[in-house]
Amino acid sequence: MWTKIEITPFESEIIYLPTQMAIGRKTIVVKFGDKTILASVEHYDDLTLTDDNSYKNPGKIKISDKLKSQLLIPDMLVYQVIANDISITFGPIIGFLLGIHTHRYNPSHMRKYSDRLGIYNEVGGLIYAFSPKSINWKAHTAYGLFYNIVSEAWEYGCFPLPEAIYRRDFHSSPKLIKRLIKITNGKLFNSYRFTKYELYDYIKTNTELSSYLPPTQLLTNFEQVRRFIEIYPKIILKPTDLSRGRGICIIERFDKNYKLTDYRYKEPMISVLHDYEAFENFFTLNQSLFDKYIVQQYLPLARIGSSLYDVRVVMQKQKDKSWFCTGIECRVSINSLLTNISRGGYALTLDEALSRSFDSDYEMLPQQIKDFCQKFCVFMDILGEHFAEFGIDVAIDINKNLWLIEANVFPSFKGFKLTDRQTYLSIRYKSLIYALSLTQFGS
Amino acid sequence: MIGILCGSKKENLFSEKFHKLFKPLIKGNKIEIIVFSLSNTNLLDKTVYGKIISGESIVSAKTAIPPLIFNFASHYSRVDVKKCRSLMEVEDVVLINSTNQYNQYAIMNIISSNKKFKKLLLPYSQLKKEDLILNLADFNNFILKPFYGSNYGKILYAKKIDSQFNVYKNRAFQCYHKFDIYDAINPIVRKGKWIILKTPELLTFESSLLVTRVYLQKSYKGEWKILLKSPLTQDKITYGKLDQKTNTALLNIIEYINCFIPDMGFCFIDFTMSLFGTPYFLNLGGWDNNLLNDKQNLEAQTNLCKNILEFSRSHFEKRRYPNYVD
Repeated sequence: MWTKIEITPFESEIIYLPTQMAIGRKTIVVKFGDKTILASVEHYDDLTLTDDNSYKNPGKIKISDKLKSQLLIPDMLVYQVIANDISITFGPIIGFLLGIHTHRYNPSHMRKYSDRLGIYNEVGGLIYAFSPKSINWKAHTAYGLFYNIVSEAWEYGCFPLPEAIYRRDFHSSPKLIKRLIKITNGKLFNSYRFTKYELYDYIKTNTELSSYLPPTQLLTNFEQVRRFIEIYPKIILKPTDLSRGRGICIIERFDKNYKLTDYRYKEPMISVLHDYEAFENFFTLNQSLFDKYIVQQYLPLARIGSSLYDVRVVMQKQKDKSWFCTGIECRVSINSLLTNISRGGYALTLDEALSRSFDSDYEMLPQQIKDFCQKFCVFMDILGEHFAEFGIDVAIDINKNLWLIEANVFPSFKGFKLTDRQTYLSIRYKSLIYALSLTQFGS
Repeated sequence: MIGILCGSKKENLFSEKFHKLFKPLIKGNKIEIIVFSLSNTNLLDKTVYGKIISGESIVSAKTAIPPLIFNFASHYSRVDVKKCRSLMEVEDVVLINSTNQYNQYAIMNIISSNKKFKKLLLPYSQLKKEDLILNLADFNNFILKPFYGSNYGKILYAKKIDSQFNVYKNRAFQCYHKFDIYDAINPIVRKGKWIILKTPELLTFESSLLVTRVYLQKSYKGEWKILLKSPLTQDKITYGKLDQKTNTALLNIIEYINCFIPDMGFCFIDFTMSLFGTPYFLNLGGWDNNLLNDKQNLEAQTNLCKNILEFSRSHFEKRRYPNYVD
């Protein structure tokens, strides 16, 4: 049942229900999140509850302003209601968990989240963003910004802690996250972000999935670089905890020369070192490459013309908690060894990329990619964390082999935004639908 | 170790001033304080190079990033802002006042979200071009202030008298015919975003809008206290009229804003007053160097340092409990 709330001034806790909701009791427990208030019940004829009750045609329930202030319930939203003889529950309450930079979280910062609310008519209730720093742990409340569907803007307020939490940042204290996981009974998703090496380390324990991993090592010393470059003519050094191609360094060996393409700077810096000594010296001067870096074989990737590309697969959990592929795009580089859109690449559909990349015999690849990603997600769930979306980067080499490049818990969908607005929005909506499925209003 | 983060060119000034202030307060205590700047912070090594001011004399040293840092710097460049954000993200480091400059529009939105404080806010909106071109001449009194920061010199107050505006800005005063107001204001507001506040007639003194700055600080118990009240103009008489009611209102406001921006440890609030003495919120700022520069503020400076020490002791004490989270 859907309802709007109207506030009426009164100095005690009263709820006014439509006569159709007559419960034959003088009091009822009113719930909003974990706020539970005993309120007197009164029935009003002029509060309607029609048979065709829906988001667009919601009923109306009045509450006293005292009850409103205790429930911390905003009154301009459309709520789902679960009612029985002893209680009436308004909801859902869904939270976007932001980071620790609280002074930055204001209505204009939140505007980038607004397109997700295109699905509000299927979710309803209170959707708000908050920082783990702005939680009042004793009161089980949080200060944040909620989406006002009437003004279509984000507004400040204090609310009960959400029933389901969509984690949007990974810089908060793990202790705070654990505490929120406990409070929500595990309904905080994107509960953990692994580094590139943690992912590699975990996936290699699965016999089938490990065959999709390029040779990789956690980089701690120059000896490893030397061994890698002896075996593979081209290697890639990646920071374990950065994305969007930041901090990458690619090394190519030809004869006695070493070509370095260093993406640690604003513009990639290319240098050619003419002997082994200079090569070793480069690493002596760049010790940071031995701190949180991995070394990998640079794969002989398939190309479109002269451009490299990789495949970004978006996997999301559905309301039945199964994984589903909600989007695939190919990211093509422009004059770069990296394929990240943020590095100036462009996006193509998978079909288009495959047809331009291979002359024939590529028809099976899309299904192979989906199958691999499905298996990957199922295996990740065994970790015991709560994942609900992955951006999986898959590469295809010249022999049509698939390789797992990396997987992001918190993927960006920039390519879809530019090429396929409908898919982009559908991806954006999915996480809210999933969050709803975690609440008591999900079914 | 307590960190005092200051601007790149102010390490000497801050270390000397704070050395004098802290010296009598930390005698016999084992607490160490280092003054450093962002440019001397190495996030990769997790070290800072700065001046230790907790000893008899000031000593330059390189140490690990202090676990508790009070930020007295304003960072303007993109690189510095990003670096300061990264500093905040370093594990087990707490940065008090991660910024000292606030988005005033967002702050006013926070205040207006609480019914109790709405009466302390003047009607406000973002200045739009059409307001500027079409409506300004029809406005009565108004204030224009930038979206970001709290620079008194940038605040413009226009008081309408018949068909002219008396414009007060940066301790100067000029008269314009109402149809000339666009030409007078356009060059000022052409750059950046501005907020327009519709005002009643406000108190002015000589050629300035009367603005009072109240410096506040959060105690280790989380309670806010007034450190100092200081008029930004020279009218000490009106300033003296500030009553307990205004003090309480300001403390309530800052407590509420602090719920949304919990890392605030010290700040100032500027407010202006109607002819009838009603106070109105104008700006929120973080750290103001004037507090440290003015010799007359010695008592407030000492209280600031005492509070930093109490806050730090309590912070380090809490951290000893394994289940404590910031």
